[in-house]
Amino acid sequence: MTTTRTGTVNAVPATGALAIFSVKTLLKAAGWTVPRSSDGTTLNNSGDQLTTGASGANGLNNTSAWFVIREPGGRREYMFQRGASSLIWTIQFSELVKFTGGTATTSPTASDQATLWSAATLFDTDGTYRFHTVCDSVAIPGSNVYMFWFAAHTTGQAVCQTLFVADGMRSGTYHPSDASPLVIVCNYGTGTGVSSGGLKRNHFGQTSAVPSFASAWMAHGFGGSYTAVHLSRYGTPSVGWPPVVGGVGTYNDGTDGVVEIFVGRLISNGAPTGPKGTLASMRHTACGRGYPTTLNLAADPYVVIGTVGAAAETDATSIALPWITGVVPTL
Amino acid sequence: MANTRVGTVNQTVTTAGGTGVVYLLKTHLKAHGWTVLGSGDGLSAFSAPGDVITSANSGANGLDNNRAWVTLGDPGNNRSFTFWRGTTNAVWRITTTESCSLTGGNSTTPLTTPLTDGIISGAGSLATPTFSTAFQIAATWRVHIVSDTVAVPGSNVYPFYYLVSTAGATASMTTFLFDGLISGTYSSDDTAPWVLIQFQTTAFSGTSLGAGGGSSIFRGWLPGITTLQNLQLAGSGIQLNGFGATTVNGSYGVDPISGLDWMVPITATHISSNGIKGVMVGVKSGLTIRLTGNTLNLATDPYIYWCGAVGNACLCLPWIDGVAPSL
Repeated sequence: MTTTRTGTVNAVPATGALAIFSVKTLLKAAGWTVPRSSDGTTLNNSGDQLTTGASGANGLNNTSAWFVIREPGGRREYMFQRGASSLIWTIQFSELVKFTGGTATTSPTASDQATLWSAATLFDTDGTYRFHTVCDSVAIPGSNVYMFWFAAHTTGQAVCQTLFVADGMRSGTYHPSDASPLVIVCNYGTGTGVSSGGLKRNHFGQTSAVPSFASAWMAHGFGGSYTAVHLSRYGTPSVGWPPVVGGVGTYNDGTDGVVEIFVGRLISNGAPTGPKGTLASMRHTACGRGYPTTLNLAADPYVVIGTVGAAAETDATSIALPWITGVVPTL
Repeated sequence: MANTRVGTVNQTVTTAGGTGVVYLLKTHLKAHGWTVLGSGDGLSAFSAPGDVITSANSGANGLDNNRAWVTLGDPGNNRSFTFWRGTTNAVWRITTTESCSLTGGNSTTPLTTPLTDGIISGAGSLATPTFSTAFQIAATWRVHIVSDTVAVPGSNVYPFYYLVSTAGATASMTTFLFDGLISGTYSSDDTAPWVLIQFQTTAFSGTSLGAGGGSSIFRGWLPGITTLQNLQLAGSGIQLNGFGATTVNGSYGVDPISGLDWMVPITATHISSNGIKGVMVGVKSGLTIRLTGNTLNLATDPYIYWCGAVGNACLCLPWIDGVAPSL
């Protein structure tokens, strides 16, 4: 997959709008299209009028500016809308129906839209974070899902505050009739201290009442719905410490291990429940690594997203995402 | 693997207890490519190599004698297992070693390995052995033995297992699962890519998978370490609410589209930062609460549910095509 993977990494955008604009730019270069957009003043219902991430005409850094971006395969659309500041965003997703309508200041809608992030802070203070966005220009093998992600880390620290991942399921691990083998992760953790800031165990983990910040279609087209799902954590109740995630060290030959992430929704969380499948791209690491550690940098690499630190950071530590071959991530 | 999987299943063992199970295991494995590297009846009969054990009874050439033993070598001559009976048919010293070139032995003492014995049940040495409970007190049991006649792809491991439950009951009991690891999931220098699960009570359940931190029921060798190591296993292994909460293997229910059951691979790790051992080939974790004896895909490449107490999650084990398990 590395030959079809591109990224804009190690950036320090001056604003959240510039960060999201870089996501749009990357995706468009990888074959995505923008069918409609608004700069907060002028509506364009047939294309992309956002030419900068700055404020003013044709800029994304205006209150209520928005754009819809469509997968190269044409199936799914994501809608990003700036809020009252460049730190505040709404992100929505349409599996099949497509976003229509909208005004210069009101985002378009889709009857199957799911809200991934709702008019809330998605970024830390402007200019204080390292920003990465990575995407694949071809669908995950055997599926119709185009993986992309973006993340923000406090500059100079290993603290991940912003994480958005649209990842597919690995072929053969999900029901062959599941037309939406996609899981989306979206979250923001405030603060900058290594021991207390950023995304933590419970951000990556799950609670019984609210499964997690990961979501997916369960049984799309079969009476299901878009809902929160669990990401496996490979936990160990007796020792109070994950046996796989972050805490078991390297293989005996010195290499780092990675573990696939299983996705599903528990019976206790209410219908629709059941297994979803195994993520194709995002992994757990087994070795207590933290950003900016990479695995296999020379070929088909992964970057560790989370923070090395106390137990509360372990889960964040465990998340690894596809990275750009040969590019060293910077703090 | 289904076409290379063979079973001696739905057997009934009564008064012979653990001896009856081990005798069935020996008979099954001998019939499917394993060799008897040595045996002794605890009285006077002894052969190495060779099989002097002709029954699960007591007396001459029987296995149900104090200090009777049998050592089985796998079809590739890679490793062997020794079952050495103690004073009752419930107590055994069970060992494994990464060799089939064993020497010595007599009618009451098994062969000596040039390497190290990994002690699965019991303790001590060949000279001063200790025998531990490996089976329950004899009763009417249902016994299933399954093995693969070819090695796990990319390795030299020949999986096999025996299962014992009280006849008519839905709770698993004595369990001995020797399973290989999926190629690419274990360390490149691991010459023993296998994991053993062994227990003999009904207390085990799928939720125990995540609870094996200090347990001896999950075992394996680690490169460079000369004693058999305790491992811990993660099924879907999902924890809720941060530290120390409940694993939720078995709590997903069925596939929302097909309505069918799912199972997920089990990852074995070492507890002292020695890394991942690997992902098991055959044994999996069920995502739906079922009862022992339920099956998945019975017609082709099936699995049997092997469960502890009702309401807990289960292990799923490779089974024999088209054969309905009987309780």
